[in-house]
Amino acid sequence: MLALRVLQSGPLHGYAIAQRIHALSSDQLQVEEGSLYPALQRILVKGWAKAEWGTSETNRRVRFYRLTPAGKKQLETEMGEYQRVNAAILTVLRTA
Amino acid sequence: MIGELWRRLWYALNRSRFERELRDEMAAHRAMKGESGPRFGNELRLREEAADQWGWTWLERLQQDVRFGARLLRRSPAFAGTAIAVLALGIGMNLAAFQVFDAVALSPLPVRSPEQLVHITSRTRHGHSTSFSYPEFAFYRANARSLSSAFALVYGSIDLDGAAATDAEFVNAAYFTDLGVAPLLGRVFDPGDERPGADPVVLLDEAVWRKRFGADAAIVGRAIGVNGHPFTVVGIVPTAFTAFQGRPAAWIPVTQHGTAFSRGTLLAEWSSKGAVRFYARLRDGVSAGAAQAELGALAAALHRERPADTQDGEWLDVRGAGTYLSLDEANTVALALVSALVLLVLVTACMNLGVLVLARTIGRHREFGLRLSVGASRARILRQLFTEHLMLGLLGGAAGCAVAAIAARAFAVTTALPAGIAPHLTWRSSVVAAVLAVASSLLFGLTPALQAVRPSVSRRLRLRSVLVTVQVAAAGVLLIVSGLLVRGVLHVARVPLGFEYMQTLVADPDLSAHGTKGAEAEAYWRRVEARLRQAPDIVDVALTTLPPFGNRMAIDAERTLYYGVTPSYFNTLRIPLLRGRLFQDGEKGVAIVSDALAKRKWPDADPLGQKYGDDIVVGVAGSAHTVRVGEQASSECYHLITADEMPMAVMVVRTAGPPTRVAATVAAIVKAEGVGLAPAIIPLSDALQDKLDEPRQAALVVSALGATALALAVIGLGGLVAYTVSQRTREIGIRIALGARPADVVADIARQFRAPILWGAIGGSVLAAGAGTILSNELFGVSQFDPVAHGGALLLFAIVAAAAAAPSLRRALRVDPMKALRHE
Repeated sequence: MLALRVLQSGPLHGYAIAQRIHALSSDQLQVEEGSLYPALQRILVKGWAKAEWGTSETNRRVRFYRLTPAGKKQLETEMGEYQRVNAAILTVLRTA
Repeated sequence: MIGELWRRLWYALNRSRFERELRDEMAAHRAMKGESGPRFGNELRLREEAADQWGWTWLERLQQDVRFGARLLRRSPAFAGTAIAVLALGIGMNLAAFQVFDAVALSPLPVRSPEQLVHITSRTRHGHSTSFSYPEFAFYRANARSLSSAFALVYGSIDLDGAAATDAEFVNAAYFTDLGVAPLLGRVFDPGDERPGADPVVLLDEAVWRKRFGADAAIVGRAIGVNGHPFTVVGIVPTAFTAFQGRPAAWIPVTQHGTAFSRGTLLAEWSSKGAVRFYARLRDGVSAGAAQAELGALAAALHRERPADTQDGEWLDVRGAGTYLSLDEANTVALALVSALVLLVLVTACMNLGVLVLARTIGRHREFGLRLSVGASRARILRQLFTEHLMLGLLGGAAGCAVAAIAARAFAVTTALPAGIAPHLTWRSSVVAAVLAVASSLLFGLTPALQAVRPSVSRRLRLRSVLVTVQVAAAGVLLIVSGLLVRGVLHVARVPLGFEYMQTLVADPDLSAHGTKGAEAEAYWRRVEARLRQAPDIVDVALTTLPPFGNRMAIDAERTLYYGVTPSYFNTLRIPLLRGRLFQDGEKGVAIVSDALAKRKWPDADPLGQKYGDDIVVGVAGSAHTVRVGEQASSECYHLITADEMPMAVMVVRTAGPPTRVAATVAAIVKAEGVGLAPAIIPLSDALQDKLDEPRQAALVVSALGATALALAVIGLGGLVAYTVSQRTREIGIRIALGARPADVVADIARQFRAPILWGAIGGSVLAAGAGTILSNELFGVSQFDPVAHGGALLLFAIVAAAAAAPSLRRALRVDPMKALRHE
């Protein structure tokens, strides 16, 4: 979900996705390669993003991931789901 | 969803490219990350985990398993060969049985739109009849709207161009065109052949044409004799044509029946029930049920119109006849029994292979231990084993297809299946082959797999005992049942049947088919009898309504057979008169009963003077089962033949020398005294052989299964003993070194097989007796507990198993103790 969310603002390559999540979470979240790449492959297989080769800011050949319409819809569903669950957990934490 | 499937497939097809891309991408990631931060981790493992998402890992593992399995099999060709041979036999026999069943009962007949064909039979509350009189048939044909065409099949025994007693079928002219049969030569019948006054024509079967007429194409258009009348051959029907049961040598339009049987009145006679078999084609879109409803209403209408000639409450049963054999209550039991026997071969094969594979799997415990300790899951090892077993199963199945082709062919030849329904590999039997292969690999692989993941010595021994027990029992059943069947056939051939048949002829001129009536038939028989009595080499002659070894029966509710005979019947067939007297000419209201009937009916009283039915018993004759051969429970009741029964009687003739020597004389006399007769003259010993054909075939087929099971047992038990001995070489060596006698060593090895073999033999015996009860009609009075069959089969098994075990035992005893100790 996080990967999809950071891709919403534009195509990124794998390393940049990890960096972006790391930065946006104020260094709280560290995305391991061990979970990032399986997740990215899953996203590709599901058709939520398309990959294309390009050149990075440091002049390396890297693969950019671009969100597809199906991916945007999936992100919305997942966000909605997450917020529902999150709200429920918060309610429990506050009242119990 | 579909898009995802496509993408996955795309990944699978371009696997190496995507893997390269993933590697490049990760390499870039690692480079950007530099040496700072945590380590990237094992690159290969990460890549594999990412690639897992494509969903093809299982395929890759399967490939690995198959490669590994293939390597293992190649490394031990003896094991692989044995396993495949065992499976090929087991699967092949079952597949052959299915192919025969498929050809006979599932595959549509090779005619036009077979699914529309139906067989029509008559039913009342009391019984079931497969035949009609011709006027009845004609009535239904004219009035039934639900049938697009109706076929009458009338059997006739004719003299075809000098060959007496040739099977002919009288059919409607539309028969062949409606079934879409193209002639091999000439033409088939056309509507013109059925018009009044049409020339008599005949169609010949291809086989008869080749055998009797030397495949002479010029025969078409020529006239040949049918019961001495000239009939023009208009065409040859190819062997491949197969429709309804029974294969005649010639076909004749039913309207010519009166020409062939010069005074036959079949076409007009309401009382000639039993003449016409009734098949039909349903009109397009009409169901069998709808046709049955309509025909039922017609039957009721016909009964109102002609109450004397039809039965009250009769209705017609309409059943699909699109296959050669349609399943009914009677043959389903037989079929189930045959399937069970054939499946036993597969069970034997699987248990057999189970023992071999179990031994092999135990030998691999180090490999499994190593795999488990480096992190393989039990599921992964099970999958590996399952793949190996499945490979064996599929290879065995493929080889089984070849075995099946041979076995099915042999069966078709033995039982003379019609050429048009030869068993072959259809899509149905391919599916069955695959299912058999997979099922047997599960069956034989189950115990080894269990043992591989959770080794336990006590369970291993128990499992092995179970496998051996089941295998011995299955092989035992097959051997004993085949023993029983063989004993049954031999029994009839050797044991006196209560009457003389080695020097006896039956002369059957089939007077009723020729329209000869009572008094006329009686006069005819008197003339024939007088002339035969003067002929040389003839001891005695008599008339009977039930031909010995024939299929005709007249029975009452107590299953007593009713014979109409002349007084000389008992002397002719050498049936002893035990008490009382014979019939006197012209006597009415008296009966002679068989010994068995008298003993059953009046166990304590004098049978003479008692009443059986309406008749007074005047004599008791020895039991002679001339019709239901070997059936101990059957009994006979004789009365003096009446004039009405004369047309259906046959003459039995006892000869002084070999019966074949006077056959020609008898034929000449029987023929000369009647007009246009084509008498069948059959030595009773030949008739008995015909009667035994079916049980002999059954005995042959089951013996083949028994032999297969025996061969499997030899392979399996021999292999098992060899394995056990090789495992215990060291121990045996030490024992011999310490002074054990060879007999003790053998006894010790034998001990572990004793219990399972004993239990298997007992189980096999019990099951075989059960099967024998179902088969009792085929056993001709041999008991299902027959000690010779049971003992003989088990003894044979024991000898063969011992012979199979002997080489490895001998090897064990020759072990050099020093060598054995240094063995490891």
